[in-house]
Amino acid sequence: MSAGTIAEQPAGAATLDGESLALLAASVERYGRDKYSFEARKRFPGSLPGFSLAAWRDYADMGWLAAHLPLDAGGFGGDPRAIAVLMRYAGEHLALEPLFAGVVLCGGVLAACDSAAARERLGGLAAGRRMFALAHAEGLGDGIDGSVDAVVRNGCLTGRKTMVLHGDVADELLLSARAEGNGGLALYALDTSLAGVRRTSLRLLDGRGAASFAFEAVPVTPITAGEGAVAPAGPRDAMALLQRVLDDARLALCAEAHGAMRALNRDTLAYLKTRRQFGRPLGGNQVLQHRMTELYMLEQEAAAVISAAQRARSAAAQGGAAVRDIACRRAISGAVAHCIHAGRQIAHEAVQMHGGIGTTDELAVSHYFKRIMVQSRLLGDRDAHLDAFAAADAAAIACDAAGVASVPAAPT
Amino acid sequence: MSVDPEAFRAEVRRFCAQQLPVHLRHKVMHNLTLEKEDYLCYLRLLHRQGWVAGHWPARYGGCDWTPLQRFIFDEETSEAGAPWLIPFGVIFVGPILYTFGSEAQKARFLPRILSSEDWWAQGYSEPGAGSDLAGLRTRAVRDADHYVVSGQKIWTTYGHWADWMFCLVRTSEEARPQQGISFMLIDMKSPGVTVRPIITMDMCHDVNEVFLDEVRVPVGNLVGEEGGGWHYAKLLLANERVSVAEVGRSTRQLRRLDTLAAGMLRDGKPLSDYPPFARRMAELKLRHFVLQSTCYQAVAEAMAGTPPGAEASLMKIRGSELQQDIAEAMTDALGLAAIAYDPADLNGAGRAPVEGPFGAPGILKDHLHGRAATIYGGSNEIQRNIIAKMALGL
Repeated sequence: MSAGTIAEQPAGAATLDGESLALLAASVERYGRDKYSFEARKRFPGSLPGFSLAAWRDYADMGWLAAHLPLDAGGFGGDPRAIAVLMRYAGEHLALEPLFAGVVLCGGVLAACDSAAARERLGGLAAGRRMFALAHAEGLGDGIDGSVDAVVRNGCLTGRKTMVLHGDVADELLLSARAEGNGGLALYALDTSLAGVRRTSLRLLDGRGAASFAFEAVPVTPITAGEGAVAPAGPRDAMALLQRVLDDARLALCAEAHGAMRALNRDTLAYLKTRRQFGRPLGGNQVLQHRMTELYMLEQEAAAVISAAQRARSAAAQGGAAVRDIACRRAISGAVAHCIHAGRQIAHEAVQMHGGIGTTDELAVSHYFKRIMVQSRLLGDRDAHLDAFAAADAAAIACDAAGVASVPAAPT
Repeated sequence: MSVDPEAFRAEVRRFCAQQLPVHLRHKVMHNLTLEKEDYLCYLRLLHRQGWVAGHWPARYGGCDWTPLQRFIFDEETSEAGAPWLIPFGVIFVGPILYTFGSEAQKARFLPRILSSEDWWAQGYSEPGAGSDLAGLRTRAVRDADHYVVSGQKIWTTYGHWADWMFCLVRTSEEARPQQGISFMLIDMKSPGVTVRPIITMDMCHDVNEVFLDEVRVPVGNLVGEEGGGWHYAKLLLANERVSVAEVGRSTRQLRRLDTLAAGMLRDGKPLSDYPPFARRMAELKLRHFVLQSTCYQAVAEAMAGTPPGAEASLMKIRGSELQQDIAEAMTDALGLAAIAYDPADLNGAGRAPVEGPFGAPGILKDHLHGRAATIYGGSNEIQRNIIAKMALGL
């Protein structure tokens, strides 16, 4: 297995049956409607920890935080469709809790690391006992790989990590760092309360928290399989593992964006139907009908492209042909590139069509606008994904003259 | 008109270089929060120079500037990092007063506009009447030598600093909705005036709601004829055919984008060398060049005495869209630094953010704040309607 492939799936992964998935979706929708209205949410960002601890406990009780536990342990087995349901909720309700940082990123990493240290932490995360954040990026660049200079020597980490989402409240960080020995990438857990950790908290545009970190010889625990400084499987596999989790996370971000798009289009459409101007509803203007139609199409396409990328991801996870990896890379980066474009346009147009009131803090519209600004930058910007899409496309043409890799996997 | 435009340009440039206070320039260049005192400092500086209302006729205290001089002044001061010239007094209400006001109104208000002793606010929009301004419902009922005004105004920029507000109010329900509208001056200290802040998506307080509850306004504060308000306001806007493009501001922002893109790294190299971003900057600069050319064309027509057509709408549309797209490109140039935002970083002389360059908070504020540019002053949808009607007869 070469570095950077996406064809590995954690052992024992099983997916939810259709009925369980529908039940989950219904309960998530009910919770959002009853407990996480925009009015209720307004109280959360101002005070520490910047989100609702009550909601976080509810998520734990409902089993959402256990998304990466196996089915027989009460989880969703990391099923990307179940995670998409949660992330759509996060986007639609502008949830401030660390669903993405904790459940998607850290849950994903911990489930993929086949070690006792990882399993123990996954239990703590699932029960809502401990807050985790993933610290990978070290600069501000938008590349989708990112270089890592943080280094572990004698079991202690030195280096820095930037813009760690929910790093402000994390009890523990999961980090990428150069391992001792061969200098390959490995994954570690670090307790943020230890000496040598310098944490600078910051507020994001969308009200969530983050932090930048500097570390000076802070003891860390290896979490990759084998638990040695150099895992038997080899630290290079940690990069592949991380890339796989990040790709899953990109699809989760697309689902979050889709939730925000859906909510924005719902609000904009309602406004076009009710707000009257020049003696008739705004939506009576053909030019606005066409613009709203465009936004509707972007949202529909987002849903379709996310499903296509999920199928490509599953196909690649079954291993085998390199062509599946290429198709997966192409589909995921394609989905991200579309969702960033669609989210941005829908947000711009929602503000514009609401007029002045759309620019106020009082209305949800401006909060969706800022949420989209944040989430569309977290794991590679549109240019980076368009580049990756083009590169995968070229690779597909090169390795498969019949174009198999460039055809989206058909729904089953 | 024997003014040499290039000599005038050099004079304005010299003025900016020598007299524009460094702290003001610093705030403007980094989109930091300007206080009332900052704006006043600049307005008073211009007043001392005799330029605060250079485009006014000399007999009212202006310089009889030609449209070209005014354009050059706007361009040079914006590029140099001068604060926004608060338009409510010198650009909006002043010309209406000297064109349609009584001698008493001219004598009372014009000198105080020039000296910035009065801070003016604009009371046009209402919750139900923005783009559809003729639908306004604030009512003024005559009661002996007063009008009694009740209603609500919204999006009142710096209304919380204002001494006076010029308003469009309804004085008659008869005839076409536009014909029942009058232009009135309201003392903000009058009983019944309440100003409430609106926090916008940049988490800043610039605009307000103004509630008018049976405010007694002396009949002497009616400007021109009862029912003439709509006509006065419209005439003035048509005369503002070039300034709405804010081309000098875009020139300044594009220069900042150049500097920013050269300093930010992409895959270890300057972002300005990354082909997709370089191409994006080229497109923005092309649009800026086109806008600037259109402005000069409109200025030439104004100099030739051609009556204004729909060009103000074209400038507004292109200018505001360019402004927004530059702001978005700057935000994108910040990379991951664009996700953090603390409006407190914009206070005073500014504060460096935890990550990213010093100017990052201001870039984000500008991007968020600028979303309103295609909405205020007649939304771009309304501007397109105007062009369709006036220029194309559709």
